[in-house]
Amino acid sequence: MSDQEKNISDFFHDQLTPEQEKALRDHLLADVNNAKAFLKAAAMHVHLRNHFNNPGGKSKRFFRSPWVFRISAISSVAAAIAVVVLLVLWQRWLNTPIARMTGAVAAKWITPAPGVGAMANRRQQELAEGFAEFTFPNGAQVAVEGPATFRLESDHSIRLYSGRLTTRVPSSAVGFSVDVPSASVVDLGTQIGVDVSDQNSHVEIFEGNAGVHLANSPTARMDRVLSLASSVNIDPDGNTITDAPPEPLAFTRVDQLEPDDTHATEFVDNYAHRVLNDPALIAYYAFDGRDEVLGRLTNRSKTTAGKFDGQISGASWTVGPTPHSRALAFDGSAARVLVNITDPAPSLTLVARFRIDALDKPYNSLLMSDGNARVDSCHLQISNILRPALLFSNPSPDKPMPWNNYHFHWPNQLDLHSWHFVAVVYDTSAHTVTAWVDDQQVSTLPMLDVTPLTIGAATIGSWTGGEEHTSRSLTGAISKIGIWKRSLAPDELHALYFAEQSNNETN
Amino acid sequence: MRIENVARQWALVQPSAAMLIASMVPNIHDSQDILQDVAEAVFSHDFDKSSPQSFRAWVMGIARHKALDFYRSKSRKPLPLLLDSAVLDQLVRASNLIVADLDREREALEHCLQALPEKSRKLLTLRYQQNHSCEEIAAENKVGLSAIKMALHRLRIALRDCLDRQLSNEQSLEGT
Repeated sequence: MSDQEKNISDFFHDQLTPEQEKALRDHLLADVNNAKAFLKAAAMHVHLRNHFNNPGGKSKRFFRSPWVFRISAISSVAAAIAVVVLLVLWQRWLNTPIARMTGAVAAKWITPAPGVGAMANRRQQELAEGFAEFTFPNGAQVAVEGPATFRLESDHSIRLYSGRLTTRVPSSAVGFSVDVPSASVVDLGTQIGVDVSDQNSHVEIFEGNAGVHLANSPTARMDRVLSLASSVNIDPDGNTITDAPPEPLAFTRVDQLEPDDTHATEFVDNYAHRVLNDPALIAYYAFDGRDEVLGRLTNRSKTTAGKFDGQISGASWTVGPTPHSRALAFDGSAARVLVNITDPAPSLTLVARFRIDALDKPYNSLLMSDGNARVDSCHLQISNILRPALLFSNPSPDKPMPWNNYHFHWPNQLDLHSWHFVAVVYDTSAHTVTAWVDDQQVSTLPMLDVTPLTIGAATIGSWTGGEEHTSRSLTGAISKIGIWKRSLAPDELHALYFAEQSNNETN
Repeated sequence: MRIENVARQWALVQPSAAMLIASMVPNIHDSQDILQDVAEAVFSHDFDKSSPQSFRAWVMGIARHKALDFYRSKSRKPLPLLLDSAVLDQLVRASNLIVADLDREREALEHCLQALPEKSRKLLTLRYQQNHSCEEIAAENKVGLSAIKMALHRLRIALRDCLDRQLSNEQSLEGT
């Protein structure tokens, strides 16, 4: 390696000494070709950085510029020929491959669509349901959720007429735009979500920032720059941008659609799709990075969006079941999340993913309605009297014992510090209470009182029982809680469990 | 200029801006952040069409200023010698002379990388994906620092040769 090569190499490893810096400066100034070689070395670093941080963005070269035709003073025959030529060119333009479809989950198309791995063209596409992921040559990735109508416009833009999509834009694709009827949303190297309805276009920033340019804006400038965790609504006429609360619309992110792992992806996204769209879902807490940023547990249920958010008190954020997931840690003291889930549940299914770090107390609370008096309240705990058990309880004022307790002994040894998945199905039609631990149906017990339940004001983590002292606590962490107002079937719980597992593997 | 045109023009100029920034700020993450700042500035300001400078020159000017701003905000020390105006002028001049389509280079590089042995790919992954420093890679692999630097240097040279070969083959095919 020559001295100059070494200097250039050391510069890109950020290890240049002052002497080397001076030598390199002189070298660059001596000849513009030296500067060219230096820039080519810089370009190689950019290529490698982009490649290794965006391995899915394998590119193909496509037409880039729109063609322009000018026809003047031509005869009618020539005009007819020109029309035919234009039509042919127009068809060719429409058929120009733009981006590769790199994933599809439960996708049902109204219009013809390419298969996974094939190139998609500029023709308008309608996705009836499910998800489709596209990877553009510059590395930008878009996940469209059906029902949606959209068009891949160019190698740096997509037009969304209706429906919902999310993007992941690496640095090589900064400037990628999502065009909606009333505006252009320019992605500045971020993850964003866009939802277009008749009422408005909603834009939400998951990472980084993005700019919004209104359709009726008199300038080419962005009318608003949005930063992390902010969201806005754009009116359908493209005149105004208004702040909007980050809606728990539960956009499915590109990260959740792993293109090369069809089985895991199907489970994960069928799960996400089902969870978020089931009208019986009362509350769903994802315990993810967005919650961490917002400082609260956001209820992601679509039907109860905007209600039942949780207020975090004393609990701290920690790593979840995977290195990239998040969870709330409860330290056995007063750490808790306060919720108030007022929807009544004729039948009820509770699902939780959690980790227990210590079982030094007889009762370890997961989710418990406040107080002891309300007849339709309920408690979900891990008890450890003689051996660990999942304990589900509801008050029974008419019986000698004040509580209907359903003990489900842990099927195997309860591993501390390991993540577990539990579900309790309180079925008032079948008059049974069933528990599942890690995809194993533990047992089904007869219901002692057939009473519809309401979670109401409740606590995740430390619980006071309505009194001053803390009578229950949790030492561990929780990464997911879902509450349905119906009894989920065994195959649904099985799918939920595997969704969590495959999510782990995918991550 | 309409925003669609800005986006189209930006897509063409962006690889050159990324290259210029990388030549001024070697740290991978820092240069990515600066590129985003440049994009934000480009989309937040009107490009004056009556200006004698081209859109490309305008963007490259923003890139240059953003990189300098980065150094100024990061450190109170004098700017590195490599960032004096004479050197920057030379780099911008040189960037205008590089006619290579950086997008084509990127595509060609995919083929070249596929031909690399696993060991080499692993080394590049450590450096460019996991952003390990040469010292860290050397320590993890229990080899000398200079050996890692040399290996990376040789890899980049080999990739550059492969890339140039690919592009010249492509050009000769286009010419037939």
